[in-house]
Amino acid sequence: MFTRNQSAVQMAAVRKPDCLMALVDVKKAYKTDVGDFYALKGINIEINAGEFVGVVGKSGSGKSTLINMITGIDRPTSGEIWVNGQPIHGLDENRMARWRGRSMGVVFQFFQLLPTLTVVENVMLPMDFCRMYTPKERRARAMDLLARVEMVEQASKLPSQISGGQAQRVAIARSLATDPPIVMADEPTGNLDSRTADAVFQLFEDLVSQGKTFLMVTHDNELANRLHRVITIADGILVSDSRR
Amino acid sequence: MFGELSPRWLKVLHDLKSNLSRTLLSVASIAVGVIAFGGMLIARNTVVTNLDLAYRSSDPADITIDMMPFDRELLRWVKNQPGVQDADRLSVVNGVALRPDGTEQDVTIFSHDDYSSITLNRLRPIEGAYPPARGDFSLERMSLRTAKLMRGDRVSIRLDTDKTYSLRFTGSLYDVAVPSGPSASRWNMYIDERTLSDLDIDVRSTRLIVRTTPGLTVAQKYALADHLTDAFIDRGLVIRSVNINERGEHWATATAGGVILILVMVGAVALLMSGFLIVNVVNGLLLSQRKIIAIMKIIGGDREQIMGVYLVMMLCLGVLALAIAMPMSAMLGNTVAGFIAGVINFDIAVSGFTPTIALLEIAVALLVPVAFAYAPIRSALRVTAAEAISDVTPRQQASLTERMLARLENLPRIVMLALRSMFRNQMRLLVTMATLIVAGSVFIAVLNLRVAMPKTIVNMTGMNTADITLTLGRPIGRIAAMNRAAQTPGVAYAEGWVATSAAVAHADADGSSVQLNAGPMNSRFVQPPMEFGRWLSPYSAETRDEIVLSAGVLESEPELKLGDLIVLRRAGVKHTFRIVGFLRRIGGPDTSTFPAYGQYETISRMIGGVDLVTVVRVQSVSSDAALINDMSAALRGKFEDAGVAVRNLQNRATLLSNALSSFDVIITLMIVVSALIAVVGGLGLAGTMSLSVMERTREIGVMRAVGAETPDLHTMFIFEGLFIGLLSALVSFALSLPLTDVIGQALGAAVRLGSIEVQMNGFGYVAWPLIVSVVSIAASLAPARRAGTISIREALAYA
Repeated sequence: MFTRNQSAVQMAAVRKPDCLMALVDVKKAYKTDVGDFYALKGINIEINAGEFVGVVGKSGSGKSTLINMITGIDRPTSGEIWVNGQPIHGLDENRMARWRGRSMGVVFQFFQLLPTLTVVENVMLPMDFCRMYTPKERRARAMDLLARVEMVEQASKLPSQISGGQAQRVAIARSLATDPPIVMADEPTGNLDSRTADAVFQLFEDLVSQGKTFLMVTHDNELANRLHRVITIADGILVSDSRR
Repeated sequence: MFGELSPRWLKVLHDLKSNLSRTLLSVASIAVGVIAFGGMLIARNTVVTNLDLAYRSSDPADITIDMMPFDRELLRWVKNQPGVQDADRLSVVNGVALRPDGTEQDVTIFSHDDYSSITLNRLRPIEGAYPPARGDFSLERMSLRTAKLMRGDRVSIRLDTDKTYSLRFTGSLYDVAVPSGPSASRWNMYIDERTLSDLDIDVRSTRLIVRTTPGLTVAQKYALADHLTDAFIDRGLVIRSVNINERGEHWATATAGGVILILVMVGAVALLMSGFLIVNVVNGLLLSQRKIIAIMKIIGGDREQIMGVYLVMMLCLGVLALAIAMPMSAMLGNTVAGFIAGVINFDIAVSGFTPTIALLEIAVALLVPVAFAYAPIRSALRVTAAEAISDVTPRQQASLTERMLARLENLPRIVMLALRSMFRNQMRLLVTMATLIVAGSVFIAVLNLRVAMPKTIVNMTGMNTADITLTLGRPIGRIAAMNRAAQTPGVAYAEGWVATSAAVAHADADGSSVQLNAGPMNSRFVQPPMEFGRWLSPYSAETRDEIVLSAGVLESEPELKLGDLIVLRRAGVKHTFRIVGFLRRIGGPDTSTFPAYGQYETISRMIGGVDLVTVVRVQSVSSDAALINDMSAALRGKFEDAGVAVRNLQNRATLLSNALSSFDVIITLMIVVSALIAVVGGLGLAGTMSLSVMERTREIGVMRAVGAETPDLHTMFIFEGLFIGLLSALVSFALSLPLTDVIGQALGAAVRLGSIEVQMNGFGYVAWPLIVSVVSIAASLAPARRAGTISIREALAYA
């Protein structure tokens, strides 16, 4: 499973008991007319359980690419990604989908709720796909999650009938549906007004305090200041990794 | 309402509800195919079942022997022969009826000695008196359709004796045993034995019908027929013809089967086309759900689960389509079957919509959408979540067509855009065009056949292209006959012919009847369609005994071949001829007299002298129907005034229109089917155009931002649709000729015409581009209107 040129230090990092996630020399290249363009140029990161990590950087710096690598939405050109002791870079798309469904919640900037399903049905869908809980339990759990994000009253509405902030709350509830240990969020507050963004961020902090690990891409410096740890990416390279 | 269902199945139902127009388009796409295919199967089943039912319920005879008059004692003897289950007899006489409007009509007169005791080929009274009383007659119901007589009308009948008798029409009946339909140019009349006697005809029967015991093989039926005819010949009876219904089926079964097989095939093509439509609609759906599929993958849906979501959606569409298609296919099937029943002359007593067909429709409605949607769904699922959620479209190399079109610079800007856009997704373009191409090719091919048919029929019927043909009561001198014809106004050209009937003489008895004809060597009215061998050579001592026979005679005289000598007996005298050629045959199973052609000089001498004429063939100065009718009356007058009776007067236009009407039935059906395919094609184009608009939402926004107005957008999309339609028409042109040949062969085989010459019908080539233009513009209107409503804000927000 390990490549020959992998350093002993990196291997040790992967095997650290509290290390939940490790990226080992992750590179991502896109083919262009003028040759390969590297969006990530060899990223090494370790994230421990219970951390609330922010990834910041300018537009085009490679932060969204990084999130896509960790969530398995896209795969690295080279390097390894270990989550919970499992090498996810080697999974095919189908196994990746099943693994992700159970292990990782994802929150997007534009919420990405299924427009023809009601709020509660959107939250139930991951449990359905991952075959978790009985159908009755799914509804009860979805309602419970909606209660946590204060969206119970909107449960039977369609996404088009609720506001952006409400949609993002539903998206967060959905990301927790299968009780994954990790939640990834790509600019989750980028499309919200500052008051709503603040409320959403508060929700994330609550979840972290309950033991979830949170990784969030943001370019909101004010929010970044409230994070435990901030990783800064520029031109595909990790330029700083500061803990508070 | 759907509370118990999993969210993913709820998504299926909500998706179907949320985009009703797309759902309806999908349902229509599937339903059209199921309706066409199922409808044709139902029609086929209905026709086959009811045709057989009609046949069986008449207690059909399977051996028919026409011969010299025979008496009741012979019938009793036949009934006692082994292998005979039952036998019956009747009289059959040919004559001419004068319609109330003065025109002539060939008739076949049937007479039974006791209508109440008919045991074979039963007749069924339809309306009026039954059985016909003395001096009255009944008509077969199909004959009544063309005869348009009212009960009580009197009709003059002329028989070979040249005497005329007046009979009263009193009722109609159904006779399943006699071939009828629009192509049958004879009326079938039924009279009482006493009436037959009043007509000065031998009341003894001339037709023996036999029902063999069940289980007899074809060979045993032939052996029985041989046994019976041998015995008749021993008793000095001359046999005219023997017909054996080998397969024990209605006379139209084979023809109807052939025609319906073509329709079922066309139905299957329509089903295939509807599959292409489904591909289009599914592609549109998947394109609009590209991001949703990615989200489902991201939250844990694996490929099989997501594929399940879309396949179940296809099943739901199939169920909805089935709900519409089942009753509509039954309606279509019954309508087509009813149409065919009307033409062939049988009643529809039971529906052909059987549980098997219902199951087949269910299977087709459910499986076809799933099968056709499978590949597009699979390929949509292959797009990775990363590709699907990113807003960047992967760059594609411009195709050769696109690069070539980029060089077109002098066209109006909007037209150029439409032209280039249409080639962007070439696979989709092909799928869309396929349906329109099939519809166009069938349409043009069918119209080609419509013009090829008359030519084929002219080629094959009687080898006579004269406008009017008079058959005289006795031979007269050729010069006198030509003079009389030439003096008639409207006559452009006339030829004198001789015609006489004879029989093929075998050592023991007479065989098939032939109608021996002869005319001028370079006749303008004959273009012999040779099956094999050659036409007659100019008359000389070596060629005087040449004869050309219809290939049909080979059915009853299979040993004849080119170069053989054949002996014909006429009026007790034998004449020997040498076979130099065979003509292609035409006609249904009822033809018992075959045409033959010999040298004029020889045949003229056979009937009593040199330069005699019994038939005058005339060409009119114009093809005007009224003129030809006037000319007919004038010609008849010219000869009758000189004391020469006119036994028969044939008007070619009437003959042709009778023969053609049966083809028109088939042609009409096929045009209906091609219209159905064109509708499918239109739906497909509408789907493609909607997809095109959806894919180019962003582009539309950019165009708007740089100044394109709503009418520009309308024009661009309508032109795109129109170009697709016209391009498909060009391909249809190319495919129509081979298709004409294929359908012609199949139809020719079905109606026993042999192959049909391929001919082009200009009308089809002009009409189809117009039709396809209308269809294309209609199909593009809604998508174009949708494009016109897209705002810059909406377009640029589209991801």
